[in-house]
Amino acid sequence: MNNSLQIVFILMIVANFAIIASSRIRGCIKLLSLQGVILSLVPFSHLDIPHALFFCTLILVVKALVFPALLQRALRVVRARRETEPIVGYSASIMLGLGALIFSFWLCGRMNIAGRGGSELGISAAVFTIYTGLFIIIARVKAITQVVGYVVFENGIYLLGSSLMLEQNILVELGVILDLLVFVLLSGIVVFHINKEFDHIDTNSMSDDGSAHKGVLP
Amino acid sequence: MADTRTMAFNLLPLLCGLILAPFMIGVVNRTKAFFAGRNGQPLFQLYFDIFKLLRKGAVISRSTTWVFRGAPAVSLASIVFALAIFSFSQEGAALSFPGDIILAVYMLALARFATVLSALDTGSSFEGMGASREVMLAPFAEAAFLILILAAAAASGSISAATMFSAAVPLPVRILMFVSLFIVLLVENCRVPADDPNTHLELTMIHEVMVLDNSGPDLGMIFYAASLKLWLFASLTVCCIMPAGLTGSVAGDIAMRVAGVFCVSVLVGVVESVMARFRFDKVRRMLLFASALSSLALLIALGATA
Repeated sequence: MNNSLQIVFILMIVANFAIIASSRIRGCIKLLSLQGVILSLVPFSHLDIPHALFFCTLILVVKALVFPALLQRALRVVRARRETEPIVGYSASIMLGLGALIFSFWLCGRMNIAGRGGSELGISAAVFTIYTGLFIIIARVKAITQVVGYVVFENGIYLLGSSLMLEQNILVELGVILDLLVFVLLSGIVVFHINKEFDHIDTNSMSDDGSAHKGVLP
Repeated sequence: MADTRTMAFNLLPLLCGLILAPFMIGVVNRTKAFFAGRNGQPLFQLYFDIFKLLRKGAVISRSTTWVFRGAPAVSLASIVFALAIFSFSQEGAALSFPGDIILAVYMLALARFATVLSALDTGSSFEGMGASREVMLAPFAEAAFLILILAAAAASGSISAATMFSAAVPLPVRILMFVSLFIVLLVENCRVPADDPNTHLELTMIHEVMVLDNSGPDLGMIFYAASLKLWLFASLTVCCIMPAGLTGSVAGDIAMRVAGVFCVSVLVGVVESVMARFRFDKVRRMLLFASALSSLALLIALGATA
């Protein structure tokens, strides 16, 4: 495997760690955008140049520009700065991430993919990105950060698809990007409305005291 | 005759370190001065300081014991020892045997132990606080450093410092090692995101506060040891990017290494100029991040050799 592709996968893993470790939501969104840029280089590994260029542009526009811009806008509206009380602390998150990383490498070592033309490091990176996304969704309380986690999760799925070199990857990927775009748009609207009703976007306190707080929702 | 020549070449990197290390601090300070729009202190300022301190007498507090008096010498000696192991060219090091790298790590730990002990020996509450901070960050820095050494060992198949940082290590692993080692360098040498070497607020500093009671030749030794430690880490950082044997000739290699070390010190100066000091818990997070990078390097190194 060539070095440059390997470095792309490594950057992906490092970006995951950076997202796990950053307490500022704005920083998280910037890192997400960076991850989009890194991801846009992946198509060149397994597609011919015209296709790769098309996908590179598509990913760059959607994941590096549109998503982060939407999330930044939502952030501006709700005025949340940082995760004040994450469920899992940042240092502990890095340690858990390390565990997930080792597990992903072990898992992909057992899968014996290299023989079938896939890239082992790529699949490890993909599995780790999926774990990271899931972890962010459960370990952070702000709705925006959870959306970030969802996008990271989806980045992992894309990476998995391209590392396995699936034939139908293009169609699947187009569908997923469309889905995700709708999801991010919707979640932007939802976050905005939650904020309007509750004055905060803390998902933990929504179930009990949220309605009592303002008495708006039934 | 050939033996003397090889021996001279083996000692050359160590001599470069011993002579040029204080100059490196000057380069860092001049870089910071450049960013602040000042002229800055002379490049050789630390040499002047050290010579001035060596000629002075030491004031030693009555509440201290022999631990306080011995610590600067122990710390300087163990750092020189570690530097002898880590100063290598492609033909060998001043001191080299299989597994020497673990000894070098222990020597660095011994230097830290001596400094912490002498800080506690003074009975000053400020110094005790500095000591507690130092040991709070130490295990995380050592973990990142040790895992990094493991990665280099796994990739190169060698357990001696002189042959570990070789071109046999794949490039992605070396880049990860470089970044991780640079973070460890900043913390171990009390540079800005972890600690501010210029601050005179005892409440916020780590290393400077531990040596508040030292004076005269003792303080000179501490300054010199600190510059040697910075040189040690900087030259290792350079070895990650430019492995030994890059230019072909030994002398060329050493010249490249020295040039690289000064590039790293400019980089340190730039980092200090553009960043603010982190909160303590954030320093720990940064070190854990470095450990994560080292672990990733190790995993890739294991995957590459398997």
